[in-house]
Amino acid sequence: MHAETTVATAAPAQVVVAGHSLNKAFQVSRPAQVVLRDASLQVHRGEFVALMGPSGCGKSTLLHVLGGLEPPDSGSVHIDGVDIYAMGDEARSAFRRDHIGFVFQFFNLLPTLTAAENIALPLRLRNDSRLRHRGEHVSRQAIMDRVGTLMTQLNLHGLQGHGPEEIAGGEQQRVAVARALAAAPSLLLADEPTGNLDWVSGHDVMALIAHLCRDEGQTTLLVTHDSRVAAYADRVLVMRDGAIIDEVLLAHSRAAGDERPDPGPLVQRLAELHL
Amino acid sequence: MSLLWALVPRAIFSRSLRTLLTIVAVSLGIAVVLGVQLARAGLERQAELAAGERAGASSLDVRVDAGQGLTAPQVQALSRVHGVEAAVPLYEKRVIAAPAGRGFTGVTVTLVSLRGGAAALRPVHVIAGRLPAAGSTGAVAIDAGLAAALEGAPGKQLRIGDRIQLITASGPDVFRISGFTAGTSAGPAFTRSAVFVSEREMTSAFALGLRTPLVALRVAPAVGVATVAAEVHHRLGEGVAVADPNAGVAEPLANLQPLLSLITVLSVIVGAGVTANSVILSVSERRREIGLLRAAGCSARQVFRLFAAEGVAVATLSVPFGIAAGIGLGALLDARLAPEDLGAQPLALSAGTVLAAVVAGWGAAVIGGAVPAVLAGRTSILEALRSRPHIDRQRARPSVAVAAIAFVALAAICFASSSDGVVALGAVLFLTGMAISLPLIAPLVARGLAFVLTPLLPGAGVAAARLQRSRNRMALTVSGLATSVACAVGVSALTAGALSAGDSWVQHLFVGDVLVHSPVTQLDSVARAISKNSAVQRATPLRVFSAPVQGAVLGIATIDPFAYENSQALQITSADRAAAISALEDGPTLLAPDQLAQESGWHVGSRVPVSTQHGTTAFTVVGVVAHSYPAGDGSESVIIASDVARTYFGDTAGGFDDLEVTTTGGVQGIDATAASYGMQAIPVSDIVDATHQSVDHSVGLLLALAIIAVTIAMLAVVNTLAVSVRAGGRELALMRAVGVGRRQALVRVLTEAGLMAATATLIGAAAGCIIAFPMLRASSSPAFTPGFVFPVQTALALIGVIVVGAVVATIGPARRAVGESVPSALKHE
Repeated sequence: MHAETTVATAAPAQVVVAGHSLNKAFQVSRPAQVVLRDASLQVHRGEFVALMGPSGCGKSTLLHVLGGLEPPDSGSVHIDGVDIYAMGDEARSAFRRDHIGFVFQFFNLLPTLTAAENIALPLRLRNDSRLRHRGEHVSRQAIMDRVGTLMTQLNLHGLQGHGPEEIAGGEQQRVAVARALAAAPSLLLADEPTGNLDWVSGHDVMALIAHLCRDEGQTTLLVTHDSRVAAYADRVLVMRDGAIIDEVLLAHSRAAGDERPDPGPLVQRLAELHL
Repeated sequence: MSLLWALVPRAIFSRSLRTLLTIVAVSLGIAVVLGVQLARAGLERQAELAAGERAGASSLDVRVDAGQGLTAPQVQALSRVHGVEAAVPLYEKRVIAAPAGRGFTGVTVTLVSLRGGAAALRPVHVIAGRLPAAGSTGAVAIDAGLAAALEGAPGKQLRIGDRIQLITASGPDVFRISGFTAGTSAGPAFTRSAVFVSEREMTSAFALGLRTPLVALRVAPAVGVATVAAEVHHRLGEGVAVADPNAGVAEPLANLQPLLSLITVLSVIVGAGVTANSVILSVSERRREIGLLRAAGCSARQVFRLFAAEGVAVATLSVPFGIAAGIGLGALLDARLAPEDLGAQPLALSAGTVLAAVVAGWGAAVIGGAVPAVLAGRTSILEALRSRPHIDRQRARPSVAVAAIAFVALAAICFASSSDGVVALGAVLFLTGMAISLPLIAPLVARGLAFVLTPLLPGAGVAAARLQRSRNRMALTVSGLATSVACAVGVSALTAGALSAGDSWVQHLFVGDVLVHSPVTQLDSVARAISKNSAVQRATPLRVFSAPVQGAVLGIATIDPFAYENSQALQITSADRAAAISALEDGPTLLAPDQLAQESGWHVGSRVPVSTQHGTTAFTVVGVVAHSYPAGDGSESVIIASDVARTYFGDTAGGFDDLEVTTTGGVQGIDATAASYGMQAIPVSDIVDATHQSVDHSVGLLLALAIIAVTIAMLAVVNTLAVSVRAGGRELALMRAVGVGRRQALVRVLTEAGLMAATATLIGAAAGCIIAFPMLRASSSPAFTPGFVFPVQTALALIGVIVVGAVVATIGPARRAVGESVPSALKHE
């Protein structure tokens, strides 16, 4: 049941994340609340995919399952060809640290760390972990260089020594994006990253993510209920009642730069789906 | 620096108040362990010193109390026993002493010979001047207490260089005072109230009627004392008594040991509970942080390490404070519990003692912090990433009830034991059962309290309902408090019972309302003189001396049975009172104190061999008394009739040491008369007070430690209340948004805090009363039967202090929470 609105420019070849027949139910009531029903998807390298749907449709749960945060009741998740639920918790944590970056809606930063320290977190976790290979230790200088590069790239100059409570919401989210990218992950997962921001700040964050995908080849899967945010993506997967019911491909011109994409076609398709 | 070490100090110092409270709690836990260990070590050292003072350089004492004691050939024989390096006789003689020129009246004193500055190898403490030199004549050193009794004229004290006369069969001889001595509570009986002269003087001027009741033997180190004792019996027969003066060093606080251990362990556990509570609160506050760390690739193990390191760091920060407080507490307890006249001893501070206390307090705190750290590591990532925690209405699990019942049943089995240690274990099990059952019983008690308080506090019902919804958290918060309150109330009940029993003991020991005590044995004529005082209705003499009884030297108290026939004095527990008193007059018979009877296997009808001046005489036990009069060494004496004593012990049993007086107007009427003979009139009520003080000293130690445990537990409650009020800020804002005023909201929060504290205190007080019953039963004997007395003052004081403390601790955070603007508080995160 695919409704192709616009033909995509080029189909990415290498699969970064593949979820197959994912099912999940929570025992919060009787009968159990089913949140994922046989959900399957693939995201290719450099692709920017948005998951959309009404509240409670299971999009955040699907993101968590794909990110290795919550095991599915059945089905499998492969990231870079690795079955992440075949691993133990510690190995999966290490895999998550090295291959996946997360951005959440709010409270994204550790309050006791500065902006620079928050960005360096995955690299320092890697150094602390006993699950790192010989030669994987990242030197202090290398961490500082990487943090400096990301802060420059994400326009966070001068915020290194500031605590989370000292910087604005949009800047906090950019710091969160920088932290998610610190370990150069294969996959960036973002759960309503603009949900707590005003529209101007939200656009800045989305433009940044779109730029990272299109110019840096960063594979990204984003959850949102806002069609204006989803419109930044290359492809939108629409969910209802725990299942993926539709896929919308969106075309973007590189010349568009920082312009806000037109959500019109997507909104129209969602209306056709009565969403 | 690793990430862990970057996060831990920041987490600790960003919650400085909680860190401080936790440090105080853990420090107090360490301090209690160290303080009690130091006090025990100090008291044991004092006991050893006291034993050393009593024994001096003597390895074995050979005694013959009857008649003239040991003969010169016997003394010679003792010096030839294999292994004996020195056999030093103690020459003793009772004479009448008076200030020079006073005539032939005076007080009876015991003259004791000195050799090498010691009496029978025991050092004599000189407090002024010096002892008579070896071989000197005409000089004496007298006991300071005796000097007061011998003062020349009212207000004129004897001084060094003054002269006294000692009246012997050949007439009065005048001696110059060369020094004053002081006997201590630890010293041998003859170092108190004695007049010391050189051995040369003793064996010349006082040779007539000299007694040698004791020969002290110094035994070579390589030779066993038992071997020498056997050889002594072999050479001198069974008529002599031998005793190792170094044996049987009393272990201080031995009777209190089970309770002391219970409260010490409780303090450590409650301190660990505060650390656990602190880490739980930290985990709860930083739930979202855990989610972020986990999402960023932090493993469960790394999260555990992060929070466990926080507990370790706080526990470690507590160590220096705990050591300092422990040393202070140890010094305080030592000063309070040690006998005053023995002088302060340096604290027995050793690296091992400090290390043991630190390991116990620090280790318990680290374990306490590790448990919630494990839970932090196991926190579901999705649950941690929620914007607000998922709060279920908490329900008590049936397994809780089963576990609580099992613990209480085990406790009941232990309570049936007569052993102090097993009963203390039962108390631990019972308190554990109570703590486990708190999720079940605390909401019920809170509901009941709220029902009673609702007319005064209309919000009490709502507060109780809220506490019921978070029953598990409330139980966790107040478990330490309820447990420590239970200990405090239990110990208080024990104290009250012991005091009540102590009253009964003293009141059942003496005939009359005043005790006239003499520092020396007085003549019967003095007793008759005091009886003639118009304020005296009756005066009953009491004489205490020692004699070998069934191979051991025991105190023998002589009384006039007639005076006891119509009074309630002397609690005879074994037989018909009248028959026992009557049989005492018929002699040779005796009344045995209960403890001695139990230790010796005596019962009514037993025949006990006693060394008298006629040889060994079998005395029949005609009754067992709950308590008897203290002998010189503090143990209880056997009681015989004074007429019988004079028959079998001659002059040794003559005179009196105390007079039990029934007065018409109290102590004032006979004070001056007693003082004129160098004696002191003491109201029996003062002796009761002294008994109270003695009980207070020992049991008060337990109560003080229990109150420290309550203080530690209160820190956990304060910690939790402060955090819950802060965490409940959004809920308060919602209430205010729908019309609840700031004052109403404040009262609501404070009511909840007060209700929770009152609930814990009530449950603790009830549990304390329950554990008091078996503790009282275990500590009772036929001789000491403390009954249950509810410690009203302690219970009320605890309730007041704890409830007020909880409310006061909540006021600050509550005012801040209700003072915040509603939109600000409602703002999402």
